[in-house]
Amino acid sequence: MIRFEGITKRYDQQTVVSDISFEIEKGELVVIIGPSGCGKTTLLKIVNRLIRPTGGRVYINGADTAAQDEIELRRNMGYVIQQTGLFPHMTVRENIEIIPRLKRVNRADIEARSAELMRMVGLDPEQFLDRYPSQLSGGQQQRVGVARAFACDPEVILMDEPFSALDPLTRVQLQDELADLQARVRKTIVFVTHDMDEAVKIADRICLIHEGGIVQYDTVEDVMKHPANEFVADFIGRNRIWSSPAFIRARDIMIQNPVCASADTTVMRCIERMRTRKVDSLLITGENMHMLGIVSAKEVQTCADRSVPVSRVMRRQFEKVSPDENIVEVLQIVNRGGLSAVPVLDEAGDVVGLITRSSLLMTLSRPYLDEMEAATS
Amino acid sequence: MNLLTFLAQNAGEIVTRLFQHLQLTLLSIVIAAAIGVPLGVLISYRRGMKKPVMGVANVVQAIPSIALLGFLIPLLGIGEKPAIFMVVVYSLLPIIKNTVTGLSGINAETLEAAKGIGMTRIQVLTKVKLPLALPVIMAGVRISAVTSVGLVTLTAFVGANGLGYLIYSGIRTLNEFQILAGAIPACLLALLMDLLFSLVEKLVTPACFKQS
Repeated sequence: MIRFEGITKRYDQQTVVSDISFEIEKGELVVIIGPSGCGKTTLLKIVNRLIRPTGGRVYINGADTAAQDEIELRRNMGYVIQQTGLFPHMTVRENIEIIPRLKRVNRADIEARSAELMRMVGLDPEQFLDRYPSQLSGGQQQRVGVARAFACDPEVILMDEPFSALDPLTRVQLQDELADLQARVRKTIVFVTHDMDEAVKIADRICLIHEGGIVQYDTVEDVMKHPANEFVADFIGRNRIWSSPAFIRARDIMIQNPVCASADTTVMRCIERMRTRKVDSLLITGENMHMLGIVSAKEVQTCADRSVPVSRVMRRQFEKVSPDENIVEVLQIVNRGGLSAVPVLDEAGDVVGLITRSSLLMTLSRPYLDEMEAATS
Repeated sequence: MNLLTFLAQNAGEIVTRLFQHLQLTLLSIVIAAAIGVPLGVLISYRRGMKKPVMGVANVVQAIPSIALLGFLIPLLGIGEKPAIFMVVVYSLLPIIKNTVTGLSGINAETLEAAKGIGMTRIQVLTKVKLPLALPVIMAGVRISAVTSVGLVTLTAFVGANGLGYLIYSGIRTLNEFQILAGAIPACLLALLMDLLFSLVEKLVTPACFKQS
């Protein structure tokens, strides 16, 4: 739908974006995100030619935008910026209808469309159409801005930090509404923000820009799971993952060096190892940490002959999880089996870690403890 | 004889002069606005032209008005022509200045939005820039209108009609009543102009700015 090919923008000696290439699919909401000054807004404005690239091309539906009439191009594209994007001297109606009127669309159609757009963004047309932007709250103004962008029913909508000046409550509300609206209308939306929470909430894909280049272009989940580098990890926030349980994987929360014993260790030694390491179960492993079985403290203590190898008493049937299973699935397994610990095994059945009830408790309480720490400090 | 009886006796002439004065003032202001506003718009688009245009307007403002009138006689003769020319030239500066100020005071994001949603340059000017700058532009016109009333009295020097005639003939004949017969209506006219243009200013202010 929208294809960036080798987009470069230089001002004098300063390169703002360099050689950016990526493609946005039809009906996709892509968030371009990055720290301030990374070139994300420049990239957006190149799409509707408010900024001319020094090099490279943008294709929409295969057509080179540079070859099109820029007024025509912009009129077929929605554009939303912060509240100041509304014209203060025009009523809500005039703001929404300006482009259709300039296009000389039939009057009756325009009026019907305005009412429809207002309802779409959750504003009562009767009540609001004839007010001035200054008579509306910030959230209402932004809704009008969104309505105006949809006025000509464009395929592509560009949004440049539309919600960043709103209070947090209204912002979240508008993000949710945008996500709902997008689920219904499936426009191709390019959304610029510096707010990762916002991106996670609304994006299909995230395009992370840093110092004028793309660092990562992936789905939200992949960006969180597999940050391309340290910068991405820092930018999305290392603790962010804890607030989205579906993205927390077993590998993230497991104890990485669980207490193990080899199969021929005697029961006696196993008891001793459990006591000194203060654990209530042991993973019994073969070569290369291959998981053979598990024993609990109770099982070794009730064993009459403590000189036999532990392989005689260990359980060979046990619940296990893979490193990619998420915390919700892990909890289900632990609760279902009434387990105190569940080993994390890779595909070959080798031990990569262990999840215990106490490590789960630690994990789940972490966001609260962090919050308390932040609040007290 | 007191002032009031003098005024009553000469009421006919005073009223005629007043209307001549009003006519000259309004004509000059309309011409000044017709030149000044487009010039201001032009400057706001061509940054490079700002300095020379403003420079010339400032220098003209600095020439003593009496001297300017004197220079104009060989070029335009006497009567209304040099009078209107002089008043227009003096009225330009506030109008140009306020036009430039009004246009440059518009939020850059608003203009970018106008461009971004697909308005042409002319549409951005006529639908967004001018309506938003109009209150400031009109404030400039108002200043010019008020000062023009005073300037028009000076044009009696080059034989233009108006209240100035009464004042100068009063000075020459040491007739205080006649001076006042010109000065008081001129003063009232200036106040009237101020009132009139403040109403126009209110009229052109977009509704959204009115409550504040």
